[in-house]
Amino acid sequence: MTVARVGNATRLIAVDQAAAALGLAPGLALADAEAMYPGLDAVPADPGADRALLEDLADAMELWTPLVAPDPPDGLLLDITGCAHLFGGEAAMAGAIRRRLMERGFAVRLASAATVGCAAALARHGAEIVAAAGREAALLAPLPVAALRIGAEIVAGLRDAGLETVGDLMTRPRAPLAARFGAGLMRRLDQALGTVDEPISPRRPVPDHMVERRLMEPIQREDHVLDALTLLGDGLGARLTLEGLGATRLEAVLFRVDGAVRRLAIGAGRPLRRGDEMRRLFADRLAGLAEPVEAGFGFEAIRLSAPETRRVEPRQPGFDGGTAIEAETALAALTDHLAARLGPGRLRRLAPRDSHVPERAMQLAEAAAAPPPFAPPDQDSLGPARPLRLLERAVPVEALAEVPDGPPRRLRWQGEWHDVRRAEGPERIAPEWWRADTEEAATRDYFRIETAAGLRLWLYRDGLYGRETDRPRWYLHGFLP
Amino acid sequence: MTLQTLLRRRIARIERGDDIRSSCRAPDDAAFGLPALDGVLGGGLAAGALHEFAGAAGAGIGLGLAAGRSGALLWIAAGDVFRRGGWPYGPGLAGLGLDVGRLLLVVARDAVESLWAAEEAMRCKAVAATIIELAGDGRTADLTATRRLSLAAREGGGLGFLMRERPFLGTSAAVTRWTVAPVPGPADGWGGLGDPAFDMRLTRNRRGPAGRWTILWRCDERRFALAAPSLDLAAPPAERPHPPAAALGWRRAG
Repeated sequence: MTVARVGNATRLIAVDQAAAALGLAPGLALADAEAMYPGLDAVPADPGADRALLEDLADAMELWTPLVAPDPPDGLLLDITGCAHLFGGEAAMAGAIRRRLMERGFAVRLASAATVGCAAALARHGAEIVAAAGREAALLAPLPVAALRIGAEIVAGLRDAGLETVGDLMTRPRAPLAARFGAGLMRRLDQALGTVDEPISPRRPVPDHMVERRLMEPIQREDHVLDALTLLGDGLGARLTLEGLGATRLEAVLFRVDGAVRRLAIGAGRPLRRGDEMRRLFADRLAGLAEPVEAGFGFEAIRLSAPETRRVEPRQPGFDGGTAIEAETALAALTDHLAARLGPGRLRRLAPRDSHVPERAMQLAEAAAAPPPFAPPDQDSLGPARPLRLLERAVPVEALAEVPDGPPRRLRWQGEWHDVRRAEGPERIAPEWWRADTEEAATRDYFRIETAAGLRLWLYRDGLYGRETDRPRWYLHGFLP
Repeated sequence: MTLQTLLRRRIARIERGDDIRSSCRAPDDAAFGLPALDGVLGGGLAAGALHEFAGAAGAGIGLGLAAGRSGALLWIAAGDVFRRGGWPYGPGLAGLGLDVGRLLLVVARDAVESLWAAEEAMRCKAVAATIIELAGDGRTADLTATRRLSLAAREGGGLGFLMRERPFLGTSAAVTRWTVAPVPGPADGWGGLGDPAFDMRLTRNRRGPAGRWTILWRCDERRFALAAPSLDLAAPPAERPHPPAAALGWRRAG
């Protein structure tokens, strides 16, 4: 049993079967319980772990329907509209879910009804039945008002007013009740009765395109999982083709026998429709995972969904016999392959940014879209004006230079002295004063230099001599060709 | 092009298993545009083959050769190689005449992952040139690894460039091996830096003799040029990778 501090007393939060058999119930003060039964085994409640467990269970419940919402602290709501027939009817489905949860050691109360409110009320306070639609009022009437999922103070207030059951509420005029206990009470009642609609808000958006497969025997081997994904991918692709779409993001959900759920997501630069193409990317993803997917006793079901799709425009080959399209497809296949295996953020393109500060003039963009072209640098020299490679962070170097703003004569970099043979500069680059994070930055004087050995470096002096600093420091920022 | 180089290329094609008729296509080798170099290389750096450059300046040479070709350009290196050696810089590359939109960077975790990505990239027909950059002497790219890269490049038909920071003393399956070092360029007459110059040492060449040249990158014309007082075309005998008796070697290893 678990305990936590409620108000001034430590009270029982949850009890196990043995404790319940002794007559202990949640809400009892721990001191009272220990007075009755010394030596109770009580552990502090951990609401975070409870919540995490509920989320895990909700994941596992996605085996039955994609629309699952946790109903804290201890409930799960499943929207099984249109799903029940897949499992042999609602009663059979309820039985299967109950069996599955009891195997994992949970005590289960389960009810099904046409409204969320009614099902929740039945599961927590009434009979565990599969209620037919239209019987909500009759089923709810004998239940206590607490079944309506309302606050404890409203329950207490209703009890003081002599209203014990939901049936009592239904017979009373609505307006005075609403005036006294708030509109929330009447809304809960209407929701339970089905006069007001209450949708389940799923934890994740349910994709429009989804296929799944339940396996007769749990599968453990990676290639079997991939085979199943190939078949699912073909099925998904056929549906997408009918709508003229292709998948640009795919998510595979693997349901393990013991209820654990693993998700694998891949992205594709070009819309996918074929199972073997999807298989290749999933194989890359599996190979690139830092921790392998533990198969345990095997996976019993696999779902493949396309959370993102794109319209596939039919393209007409040009006079080159389609080689341009072929090359484009081949490149897209390569980038998808690399991205799936290496993980996100490993494929980059260079994209220009509107700034005159060298390190801000370029950013490493995602590879998905081709970036706009770079403007060639202002050519103020017969040699290259900008470096071929720019250091992420400029490296401090020791330099001997003329004051106030002459080029360096000698410099020490990586422990070696280099004589400067030729130099171009200075090119004065001021910080972007309009940006808050550059307030401390100094003006830089950039020099292109060639050492006696022929090495070409891009250096700058940080700060104007005499005006901004008395001891300007030198930095190496890039390598010229 | 001399008859000799034509025949030599044809033999190479036959050895590769290509159709003889396809050897009549225009050669898609990457030429420096310098007869002295291209002659030794049999028309330029062979497409569909691996070429190895040692020295930090190698990447610039590779980019200069790939700039004029159509197709994607992949630059593959481990993340710390990019961080230490500097990230490819868009404005500088654009100044070189390269269409930066064609360039894709692959940031790998380590050398092994770089090699894997490079093999995949070289195998792709849509990739015009693949540059893989390894830290130090890149000993991860040994004979087996370079052989794999060579096969992948042959399949894809693009240029494969393997860049090492320092020369690797072990064997390699690359068709050509170069050591590139920057040298002081000629004065531009205005006191500026002028065109960059490189000492290009061809230490191994399966298509012909080794050699050593000093070449310039002409920034305004965006092409290579031979530095005026050139060194001898042929390297001194000590620098040849094989004695002449082993000349058949290049044919066998194809």
